[in-house]
Amino acid sequence: MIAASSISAARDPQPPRPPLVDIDIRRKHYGDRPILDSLRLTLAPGEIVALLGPSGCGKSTLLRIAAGLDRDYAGTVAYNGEVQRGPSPLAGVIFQEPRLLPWLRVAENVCFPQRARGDALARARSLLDEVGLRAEDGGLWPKHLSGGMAQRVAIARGLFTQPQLLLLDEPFSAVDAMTRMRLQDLLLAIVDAHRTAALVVTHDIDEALHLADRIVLLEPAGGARARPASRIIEVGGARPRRREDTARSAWRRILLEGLETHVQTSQTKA
Amino acid sequence: MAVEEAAAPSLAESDAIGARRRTDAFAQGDTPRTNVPAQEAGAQAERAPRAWRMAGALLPVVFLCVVEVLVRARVLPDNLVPAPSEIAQALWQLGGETLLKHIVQSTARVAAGFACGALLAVVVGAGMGLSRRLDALLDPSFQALRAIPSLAWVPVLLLWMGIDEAPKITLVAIGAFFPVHLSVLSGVRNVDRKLVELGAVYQLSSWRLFVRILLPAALPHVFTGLRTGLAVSWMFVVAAELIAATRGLGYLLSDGRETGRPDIVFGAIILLGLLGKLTDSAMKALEAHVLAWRDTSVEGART
Repeated sequence: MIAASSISAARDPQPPRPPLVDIDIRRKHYGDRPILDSLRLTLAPGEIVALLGPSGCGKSTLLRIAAGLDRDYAGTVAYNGEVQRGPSPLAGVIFQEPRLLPWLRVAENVCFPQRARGDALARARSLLDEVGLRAEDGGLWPKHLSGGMAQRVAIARGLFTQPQLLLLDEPFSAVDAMTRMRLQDLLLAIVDAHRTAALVVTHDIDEALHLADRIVLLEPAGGARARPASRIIEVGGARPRRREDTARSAWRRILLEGLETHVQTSQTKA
Repeated sequence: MAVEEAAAPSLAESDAIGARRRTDAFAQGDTPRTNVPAQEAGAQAERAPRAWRMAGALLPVVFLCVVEVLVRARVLPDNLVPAPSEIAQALWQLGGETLLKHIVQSTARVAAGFACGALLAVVVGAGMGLSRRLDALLDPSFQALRAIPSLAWVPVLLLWMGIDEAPKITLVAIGAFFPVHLSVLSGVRNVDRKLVELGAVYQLSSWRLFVRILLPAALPHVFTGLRTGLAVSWMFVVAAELIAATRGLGYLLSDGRETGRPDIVFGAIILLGLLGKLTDSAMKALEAHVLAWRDTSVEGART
């Protein structure tokens, strides 16, 4: 992956290096209903961006477009300056639910679609260790895992292909509050260790504040202001941030106000 | 049976053990999934107590004993219902070798016909499950073919293939085909869209998507179809052997009828029941082994 970026740099020796991912959506709609409109989002290597917004604002759609799972839109997604149609090998996707294949044991799930043999199995084991599971857990069926454990396995699987970018769709919304905090810290540790970038979709303000370098506030398209559809809020201070940081309440207030205007506009619409 | 019992305690118990193990396995952090949601618990096959399962196995024996007593007491006329002891004697007189010959012959026909029919059904069913066009093209014909009664095929097959093994195996294959075909079709259709999407994330080719995701996900459905297909195969093999055969349990049945031997007729019926039950149990064991990952049934032997 490092090789890939250096190759593109060699081919294109101009100093302005393209961002790791450049999502440029001119228009996306379901039937007559516009979802995303004139939205551009770029991520630099190692950067964590949170996509925050009320449900139905199109944040999951944006993530699916970035993942190449939704190709029915006007615009482009470029990885390292190269336009990508369909899923990119540079991106690992982690869904809201673990989506483990129930007929594969945990280690086999981690190396999917490779067979759990030799190097692949060794890598799967070390990734399991990294996400806080024991080597023996690799032999369990997914049905034996708790929600938090299963999501850890999903994270390990997302890392298996050594992606430069992790795309996470409300990854911790289905687990309890304690587990969520642990998994958030795990994600931060992993992003630092693997130097990957991450785009995290969430509706949890505190999660966004805890994880992100930048927070993108998404407003439902076709609201009071037709466009632009998104606002980008920079969160100050370097990671890791402490949960009890007092500066957070100020950010939280700004985000809440941002969200509330959305709620008001959507309510007046209805 | 005792081993099985020890490996699979009652539902509530196994869940408690599972929860305990999960807690141990993850003492460091996440809350383990202790309580199974009500819906899931409802889907779990609750195991009847051991005594009742033993009673279930003994019930046919008790039934035969009662018949024996009733026939001996002349409550039931013995020209219509031979006493079970007479049936056993009749089978004994046929000789183990003759009996084995008939059993092996029928079993071989079932095995060959079922294998051909089921294999073809998996291929055709998968094709129709994956391609809407193929499905639209073939579905009306298959529905019509499925509606044809087994016996209606017999004269046609005899006409085309003579009275050799071929028409019998073909008839069994026809019988096995449709239940398996239907189950593969619905299995492939009902695969969770989210798992298919996972295949898209990993850019799996159509073939790899089928082998790595669609087929395993469809397996629970497929096994249901295989078990139905196997039962139907036993029905069809008798239909085939009733008409034109010199060996097999169906032949034994029709021979007993022609020679006025109800004891042999009933003997053949009992043997058919036994064989059907045995092959179904074997298929069930295979299913339990292959589908050990399923979250619905009581946990398997794995710990």
